[in-house]
Amino acid sequence: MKNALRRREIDFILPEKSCLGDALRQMEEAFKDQFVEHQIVLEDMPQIRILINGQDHMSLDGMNTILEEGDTITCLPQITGGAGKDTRNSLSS
Amino acid sequence: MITGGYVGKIAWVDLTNKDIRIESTDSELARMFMGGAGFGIKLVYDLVKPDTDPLGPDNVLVFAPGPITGTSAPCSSRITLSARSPLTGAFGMSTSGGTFPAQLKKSGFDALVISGQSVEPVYLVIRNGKVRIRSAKKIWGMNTFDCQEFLKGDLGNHNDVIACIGQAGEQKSLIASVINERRAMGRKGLGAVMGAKKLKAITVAGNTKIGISDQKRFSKACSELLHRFKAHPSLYKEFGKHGSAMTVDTTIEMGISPANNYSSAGLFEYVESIGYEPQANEILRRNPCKNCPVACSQVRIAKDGDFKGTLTEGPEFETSWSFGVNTGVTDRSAIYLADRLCDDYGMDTISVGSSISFAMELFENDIISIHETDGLDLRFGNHTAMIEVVHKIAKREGIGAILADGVVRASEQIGRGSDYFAMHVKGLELPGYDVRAAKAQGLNYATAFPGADHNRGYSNQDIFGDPVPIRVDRFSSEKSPEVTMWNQVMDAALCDCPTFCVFIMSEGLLRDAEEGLAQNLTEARVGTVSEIVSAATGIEFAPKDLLTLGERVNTLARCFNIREGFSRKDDYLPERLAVEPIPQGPSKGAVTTKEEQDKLLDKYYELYGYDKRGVPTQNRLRLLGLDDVGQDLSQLGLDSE
Repeated sequence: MKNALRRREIDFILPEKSCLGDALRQMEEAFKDQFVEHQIVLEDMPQIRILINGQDHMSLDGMNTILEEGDTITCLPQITGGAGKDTRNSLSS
Repeated sequence: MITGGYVGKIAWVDLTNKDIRIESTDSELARMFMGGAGFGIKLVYDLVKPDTDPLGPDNVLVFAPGPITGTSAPCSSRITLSARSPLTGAFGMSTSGGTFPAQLKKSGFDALVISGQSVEPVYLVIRNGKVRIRSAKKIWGMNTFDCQEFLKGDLGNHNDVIACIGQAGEQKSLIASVINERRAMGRKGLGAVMGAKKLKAITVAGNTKIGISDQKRFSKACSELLHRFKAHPSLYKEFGKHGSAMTVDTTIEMGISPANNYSSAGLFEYVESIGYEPQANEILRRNPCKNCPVACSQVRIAKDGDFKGTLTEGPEFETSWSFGVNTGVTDRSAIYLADRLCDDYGMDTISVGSSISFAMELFENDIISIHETDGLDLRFGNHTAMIEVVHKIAKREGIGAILADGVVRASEQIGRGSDYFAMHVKGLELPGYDVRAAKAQGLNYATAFPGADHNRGYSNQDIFGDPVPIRVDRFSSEKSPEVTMWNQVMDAALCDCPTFCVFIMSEGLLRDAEEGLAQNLTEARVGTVSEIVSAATGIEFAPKDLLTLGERVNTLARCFNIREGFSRKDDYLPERLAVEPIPQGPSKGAVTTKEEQDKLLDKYYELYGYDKRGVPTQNRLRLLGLDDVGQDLSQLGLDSE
């Protein structure tokens, strides 16, 4: 993703009550061409670990976690373990 | 009956009398303790009597691979080294990979037990079932790299694989390690035990056949494990490419990378300077352990910085932290050099880095002055001073002489309230996770038998968000006792006894796992290892037997410690972590109070079948087949309440 976006940080302005899934969909839309070029599909991404302010998003409300002003979303490679099918990141969840 | 896995012999070497005995591997020992950590703790418990001087002739060193080591099972070239630790006084065990573990098995032995103390320096030559003791006069004083190169040439066999100590072990530094190739049996000062025995090196070679009892079943189980590896989304693609350096970024982004001797938290600047991406640009090649398809170990060269051109195998995550975030150093080349020097001198990178960060904080707080640091400006971030101190520790010079035996002894010498800044559990310096915001990892630091050892019950749940056996909120300790015990039992049973790599097992076994602490699900996690070990050895290690084995090993190690005077008071985190919240970053405000720790210990002891003092009950010891240990504790007046 970093190579596709050619940057390591992106700021987004989202409507109030937006959730993590909304933020990722907005990123996907904003960088559609780059994502296609680098074959990045956010729909099912077991290889990515997502933190919201340092907290694993699955320990919060997953993709439905409501974001607040100033929140930081961090995408990291999934180093170890991996999740069961029911706990993988999925924008449709 | 043993029909495979083991090669059937254990070598007993008495260095005082230069006596060598070769005995058959006891099948009951194999059935009850399997190998690796199990052999180590059982033999050390039986052979090392209470109050034995760790640096005296009566301490023993047990080099023990496991029944899987040296077979074609992936990621199985691992070895445990056990003794009474001179650093902590507790049972000390370190593990290593590379080629040495597999070669020790192929040299003809399931374990090597070394006792006594030589007057003159010696080394051991082990080939195809024979052990010889030779003079080490020529190599005494050499660093580990030169020692290995010299011995290969001297023995005329460049296929010999060698484990040895450097100058630090010879000087009996209590943070000295044993180095094999460029790997380390790093922690707990076991290099000093070798040095005290005047044992410089052990060379192994051979082509002993390691039989497999049921080849078809064994191959099927190994294939299953490899299939899991392959299916993992990032094991080969990412972890194999970057190794443990990836954890630098993870811990910093989570706000759990302790900075400046735990007085702060490492922030984003460290990702840019020492994270896995800048390190990736400096990888020359991979250097896999024997039979490892992942190959996470990397050889790197510093392309810039004050020590540009430094070549090292590593640094692993813990080293990047201990010589980076924890000392405030951002010059990557200095971290590479510190890593290289520790390998050369034979020292534990975690304990050396932590001892230096301890001295830096004392310096910053005017507890020690520049007159006590040999004129070094020992402020956080001074990478050239850090390198100077690494040399001094290895040579026991000046400030290095104070730090060469770890932070506890250094604080005892310095006094002036410095013990508050000594970050350790049971005398073992803390690794690189701020456990105030990784609660199960914290309970493991507090309770693991060797002291603050991250690898004897690593909390993948806290650090990597693994949902197995349950998903945890890393800021909450509600489930920590259950999760910590699960991790400790699994690490012992699945990794340290068979032996398998702890990195890889978490990857391979947790993939696609279902959640839950239920016994059947837990047993499902150990199924693959059960199949591999049973098929190899012909001894049926059912999943429930493996769970009992893990508990047995951890409990016996605890009993060794109890016999040496350890008790509940030694199962707490350093005071600082109980009274100072993390000051900044994503985990700001997290703390683990004494009261919280008390509750966690009560529950943890209950789960393990220990009383409130942390002493195993006689009933639990019987259930684990440790009746004789119960009698030992009774004779010492240490019956459970």
